[in-house]
Amino acid sequence: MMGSDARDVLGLPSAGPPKAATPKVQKPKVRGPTGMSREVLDLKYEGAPPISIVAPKFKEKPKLPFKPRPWEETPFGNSARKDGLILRHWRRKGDVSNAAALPVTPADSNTASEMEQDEKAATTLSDSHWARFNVKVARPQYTDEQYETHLRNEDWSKEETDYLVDLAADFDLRWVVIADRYEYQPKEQPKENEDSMAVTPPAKPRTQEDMKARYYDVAAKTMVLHNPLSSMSSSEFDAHEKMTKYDPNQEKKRKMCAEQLMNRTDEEKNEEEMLLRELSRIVLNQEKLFNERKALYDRLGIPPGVPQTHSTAMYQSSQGLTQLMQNLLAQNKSKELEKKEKRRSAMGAEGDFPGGPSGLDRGQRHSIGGGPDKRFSFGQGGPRQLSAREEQKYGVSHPNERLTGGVQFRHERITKAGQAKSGVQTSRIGAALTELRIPPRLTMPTAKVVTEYERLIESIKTLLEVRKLSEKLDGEIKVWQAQKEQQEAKDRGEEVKEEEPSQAVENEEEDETKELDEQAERRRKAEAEDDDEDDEKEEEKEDSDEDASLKGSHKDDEDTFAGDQDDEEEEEEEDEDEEDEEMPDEAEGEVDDDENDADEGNANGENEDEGASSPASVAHTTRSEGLRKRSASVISHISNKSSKRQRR
Amino acid sequence: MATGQASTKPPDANEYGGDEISALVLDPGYSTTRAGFAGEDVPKSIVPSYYGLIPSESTPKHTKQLFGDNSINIPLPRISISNVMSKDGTVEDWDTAAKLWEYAITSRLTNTKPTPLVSNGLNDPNEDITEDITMEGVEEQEKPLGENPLLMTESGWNAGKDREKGIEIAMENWGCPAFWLARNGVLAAFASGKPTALVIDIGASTISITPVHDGLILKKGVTRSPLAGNFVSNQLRLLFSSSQPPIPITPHYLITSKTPVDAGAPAQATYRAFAPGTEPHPSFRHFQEERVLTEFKESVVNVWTGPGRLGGHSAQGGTNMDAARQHPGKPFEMPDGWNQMFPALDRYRAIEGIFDHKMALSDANNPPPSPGQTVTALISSSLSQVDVDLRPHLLGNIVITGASSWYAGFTDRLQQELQAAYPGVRVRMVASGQMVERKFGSWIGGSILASLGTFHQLWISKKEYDEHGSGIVEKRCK
Repeated sequence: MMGSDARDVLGLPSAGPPKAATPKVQKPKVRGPTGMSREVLDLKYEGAPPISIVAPKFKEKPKLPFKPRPWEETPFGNSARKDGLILRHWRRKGDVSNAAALPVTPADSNTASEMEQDEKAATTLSDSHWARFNVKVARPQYTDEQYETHLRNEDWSKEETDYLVDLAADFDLRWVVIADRYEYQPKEQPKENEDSMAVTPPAKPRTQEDMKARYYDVAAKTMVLHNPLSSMSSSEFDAHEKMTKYDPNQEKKRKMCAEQLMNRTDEEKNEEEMLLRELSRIVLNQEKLFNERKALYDRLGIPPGVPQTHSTAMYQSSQGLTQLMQNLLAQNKSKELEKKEKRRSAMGAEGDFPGGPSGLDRGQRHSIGGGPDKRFSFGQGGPRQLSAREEQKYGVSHPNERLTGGVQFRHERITKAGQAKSGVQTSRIGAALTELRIPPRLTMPTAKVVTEYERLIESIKTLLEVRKLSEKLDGEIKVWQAQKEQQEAKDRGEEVKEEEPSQAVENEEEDETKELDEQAERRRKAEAEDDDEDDEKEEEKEDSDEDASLKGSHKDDEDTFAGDQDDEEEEEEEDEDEEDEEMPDEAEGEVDDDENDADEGNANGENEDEGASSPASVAHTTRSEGLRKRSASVISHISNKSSKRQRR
Repeated sequence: MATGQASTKPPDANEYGGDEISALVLDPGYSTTRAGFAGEDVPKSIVPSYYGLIPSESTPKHTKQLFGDNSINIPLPRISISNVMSKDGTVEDWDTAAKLWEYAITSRLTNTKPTPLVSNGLNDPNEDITEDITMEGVEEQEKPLGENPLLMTESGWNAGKDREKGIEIAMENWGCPAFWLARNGVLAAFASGKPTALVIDIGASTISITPVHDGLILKKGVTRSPLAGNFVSNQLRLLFSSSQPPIPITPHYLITSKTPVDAGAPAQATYRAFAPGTEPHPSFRHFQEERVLTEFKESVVNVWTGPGRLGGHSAQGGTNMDAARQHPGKPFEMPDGWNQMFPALDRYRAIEGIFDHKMALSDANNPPPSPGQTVTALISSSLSQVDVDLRPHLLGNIVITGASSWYAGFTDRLQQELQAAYPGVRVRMVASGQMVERKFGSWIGGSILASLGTFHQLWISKKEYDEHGSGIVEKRCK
């Protein structure tokens, strides 16, 4: 759209000066006949191309989002070089990212570099990115004087030492290479007079170890010369230590061993492999064995392994190492065990120590309880060992009997001890106690007093039973005597023969009963005389003595097979827990049974007393026999009971 | 677009430590001489170390030297073939070697520079006042390697004199701004990425064992023997001549046409006839035969991979030779059409001598190898010269390089032999599975080394050479 068109539309007059007519090239217009389409017309004229010609056009230049930067071959220097060699590499133009400017000295810029050196580059040569990796080993520096005073060595001349130090610096202390390239030829010594047989000594063959030893010697000494030991940094000091401690002979030996190891034949290797396999098998088994032993030790509370020493000598051998490993394992395991125990005690399974502090856990109980453990000293972390006094103080007991579960109070024990199954019995015990002038409620119920009290009650119970029995037997004897008299009166003179055997039996029986009778009599007398107390005390003493001795023997027994027992105990621990809870009932049941027996005995006795009086038809032979049996059973029962107690 | 952009970015120098300065790497060997730019993965220019000589008819002293694959394989009249290298892997003919190397570099890598504008005669002013000064610079520029530092390789046993010769050529003849002489064993270790390695380089003329520690060879441990590629070729020649009927080796250039024949049937070919006086020298034929044998070695020869040696007894009681007879053969066709199935025993037999000197074939010209020349013996004697602490490490890093190590089963067999010799040590081979990497191991290592940024400080510069003379090589390139 032209400007004039716009003006036309807006109805404006043509403004401005008329344009200077631009010289237009008038194209001669070829006009074809009208009424024909252009295509057809094109076909008519020969000169016209059949197809439209598109001027050849290059692909449009891609519009890149960045400006192309040319590469150029940039010369650069290298500060690690001293000769000012200038090399060229291709870099993006204006890219000086990884090249620091290298100050070019006039001497450098004058170097006869082969490259054409444009002035610009010469003024600001970039340094090689890699120059900073040029690190050199610090070589020991010494003057002739220093050498003479400090570094002299019979075996090494100064020239050779210099050569060695140079070589070491050249190869950056790669000793393998240094030893390989070491070709020192001693200089021809100036002959002082022609006749002297002085010949240049042949170069000594130097091993790598010799060189190392010499170099380290020199290096360590120069180190000290430049920097006394006191002012060395720790790393320097370490290096110094290492150098002074170098032992060429040991190193040679080591290399010999290494060579032997390398030159093993196939058979040797196979044999070694076989041995190693065997060893690993043994070690595996050993581990098992150790674990078992370890478990055992854990139970016994023995600190595993040998006493700890602070030297590492014991860990040099494989055996020592194995032991160390075992120890570590053991510690782990004991920790685990402790955890377990803690959990258990937290769960409230505690209560085995009625008099003791409740903080003691079972693990400790195992170590504290049971006489044999006292033998062993505890390692670190084990429970504190209490003296006898302390044990007493804290009320620690070493019960030999099975403990009942749950918390018990002493007063419970007191009341329980004082109560028998039957009220008669209880009242009798009460009577006996009052007789002894012991109050039903103890004034000072310490653990010891309570145990003594219990023992007293036990004795009273026995006494009562024995008394009862004796009374019963007395009664029976009386009955039988009465019967006998009756019969004698009846059969006087008649069947004497028949009676004889029974008589014998009776006699025997009589003897027995007589004894019992006598005892009972005596006792009764004593009671009557009120001397009982002393008597009882004596008995008690005897009892306790007996107990003590028994305990002792028991202890011994336990000593001998403590391990086994403890093992079992440990395993049965949990079972025991349950049992503990059940125990009281059982114990009660047992007591019940006992008492029932006694009662039954009583009842039977009574019954028989009755029966004996009424049915005369019963053959007295059998009767007497039954009586004998019964009395025997009663005695055995009593003795059983006492032995049971003793066992406990 | 993104990828295009990435490609324009220079690789992060910290990533690979490279900083390329368009250095050249020249790795002369007995069979070929490799040359190329540092930083590339294959040498661009691989030229045979053999060169052709055509004696001029008029002046017998004036001979024409031919370099390069394209010229020395043509049976030109009276052409003879020589090698610039000696049989033990060092340069023998320095003058020709310099020309050959220059050819290798300039034919493919750097062009001979066009004459500078100042001296091409077109812009000659009437009087040239400063001619002397400029001419000096021009002279420098005219030298073929005026812009490229050169890294050259040498064998581990190269004598000091030869080393100095190398820097002289580079500095004087070629005008290199910087030069370095590296041991090819070290470079082969670098190519495998190992600074410490026991390099077993099996070339055409020499098999060499080079213990390398931290990029430095242990000179006392360098051992070598001639039981290499050419030894196997000679074994094959002996094998062919001893077979019934003898197997002829007819090189390609003698055949004008051939018709296929059945296996074992005599060849039906028309042979090329040379006008009297224009026959190539026998060395030419030998060289061409070598090419046939190379093909044979590549396709047929196989290393007996055990168990045990070929001459030994198998676990079943029979000999391994009997076992080898059961193995399948391989067919091979000679250039003249003669072909045959080569039995497995022959395939194994040709190379067994490298491992077992007793199995080597010999005649008057080919003396039997000594027991100390086998690979295993070489390695053992090399290791015995090395510090005992280093031995297991070296055995754990055995780098195998050289084109003649490309025999099928070579690595397995060597592993087996060494493990048997050192049962207490773990023997590990590092052998590239790529033909190119195996063939040009030392060149590739040189390419890596010369393109490293940290290597810049090691170059012996022209200035240093001028100051200290050629003796600087001994001092610097250790």
